[in-house]
Amino acid sequence: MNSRQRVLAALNRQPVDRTPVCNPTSVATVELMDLVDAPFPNANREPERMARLAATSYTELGFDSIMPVFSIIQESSALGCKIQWEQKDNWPTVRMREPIWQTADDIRVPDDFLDHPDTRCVTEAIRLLRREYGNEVAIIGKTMGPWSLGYHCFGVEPFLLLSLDNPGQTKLCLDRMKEATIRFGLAQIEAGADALTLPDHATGDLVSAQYYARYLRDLHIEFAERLKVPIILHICGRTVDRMPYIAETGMAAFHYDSKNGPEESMAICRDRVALVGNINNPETLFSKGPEAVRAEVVRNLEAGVNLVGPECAIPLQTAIENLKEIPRAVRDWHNDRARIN
Amino acid sequence: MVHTMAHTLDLGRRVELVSMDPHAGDISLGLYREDSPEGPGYLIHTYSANPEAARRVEFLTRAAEVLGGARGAPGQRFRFPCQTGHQTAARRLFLEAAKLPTGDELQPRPLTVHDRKSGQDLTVEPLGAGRYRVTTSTADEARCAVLANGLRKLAEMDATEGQPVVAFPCGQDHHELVGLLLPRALNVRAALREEESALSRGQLSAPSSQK
Repeated sequence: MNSRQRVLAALNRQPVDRTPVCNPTSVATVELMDLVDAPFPNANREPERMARLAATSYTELGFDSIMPVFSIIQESSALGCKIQWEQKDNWPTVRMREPIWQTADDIRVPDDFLDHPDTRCVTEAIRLLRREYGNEVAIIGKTMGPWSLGYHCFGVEPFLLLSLDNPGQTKLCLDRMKEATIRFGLAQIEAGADALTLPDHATGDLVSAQYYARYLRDLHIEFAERLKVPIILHICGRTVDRMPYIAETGMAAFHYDSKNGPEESMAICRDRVALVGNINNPETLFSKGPEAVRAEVVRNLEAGVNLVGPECAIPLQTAIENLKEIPRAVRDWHNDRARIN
Repeated sequence: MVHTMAHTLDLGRRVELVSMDPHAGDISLGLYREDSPEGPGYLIHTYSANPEAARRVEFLTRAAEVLGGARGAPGQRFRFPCQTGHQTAARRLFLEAAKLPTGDELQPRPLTVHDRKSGQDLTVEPLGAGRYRVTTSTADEARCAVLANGLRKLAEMDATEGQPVVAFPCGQDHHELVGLLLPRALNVRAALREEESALSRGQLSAPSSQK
């Protein structure tokens, strides 16, 4: 199997020759930016640089996937949000204290949404990568879900208060914003994406499982039906309580956080939705050494997690040796198993 | 053209990073540690092909030798003459050197520092075998203790109960290193805050956690 075949098979919960190493979110680092002359913020805004930096996950780190959409703000920029683009060593963010919408009536996905430089950058980068790598490696796109877009466009607090005070209006907002998710996702598929990450930040710290069921489950079912590639849902934080709902959506995979144990998560998701993850970012990949990384990889493999990788976008200062340890540990584990058997 | 060959190197364990060096076109510089029978050696490395990069690395390696009393080692590395790692001090040495512009004159720092808070000079007196006593002409024991405690934290030195005396566990003198760390040791909290601030950059938080 080549890398692309391996990732796609695992996303479909089919047999693989070894567990794929997958990054549904960013593995860009400042050192990799130097290596290929593609620093932030340019690498978030110029297709060639975006593609070049993204490719390092495959060419330098040995992952089985390439994911060029490092940030979570590309479509929010195209929707009109104000963006703090930051510097090489920090992430661009939406200025959520300056929301662009207050009510559902304000929501408008511009006709030229996909022609905006910050969305077009993504589709062009995917085209470049597809042209360069053909079918040898999985190319993963990313389209933000409406809950995340709600935070960006309404502001976190106003959007959460709206969801408490007016569920009907909230559902209307989500329904209108979902068109941005669908259109950007379809454009990336058309450009050559093999799969899509769909972050929708119904995170454990702010949103309950009941909220997920009330507001997002049906929308996520709709995404899985309308976006005809494997969809990897990404939600940060403790999410075990909503995994039973997520498993019913038809999403191919759930990219899960290290706040959830691999064993408990697999017990819920096995045979219903693939799991991707969940190497801890701040404490392990960023702050510890390869031995700790290896231990977390092995724990995921022992639990039967379908695809192994970091839990979320890695810190930009992460050491390269820690990232390279993930595929090394996966290969060693499979080699050891083959010897034993 | 997107495709690149594998260029990353096995340089040892990265123990410190300057993610954007304002003195060399915002390149990233890593301090890598590799253990060998001759003792731990450190390498300053950048993956940047920026024209200033090679000169910058050369300057910082030289700065580590002059300001930290390190010695050149094979593979453009440096190590301490005692053949001990002194990793915390080595990281601080790297960070302090990286604050200097390339080409700055390099001189070992004196073992005396002016304490703006008390308006007096504090001096570190070598006692031999890696031990140092903090003294002052005004017998301000509290400030001496502060400085000794700062050195203990910044260089992982051993403290002596009830005395402003600190010692390197290797039992050897490191005058240059002590001189370099003195100004920072007076306000170790600021140094640690600076480190924490650097650590918090580059971590992506969920939209719900952003401001």
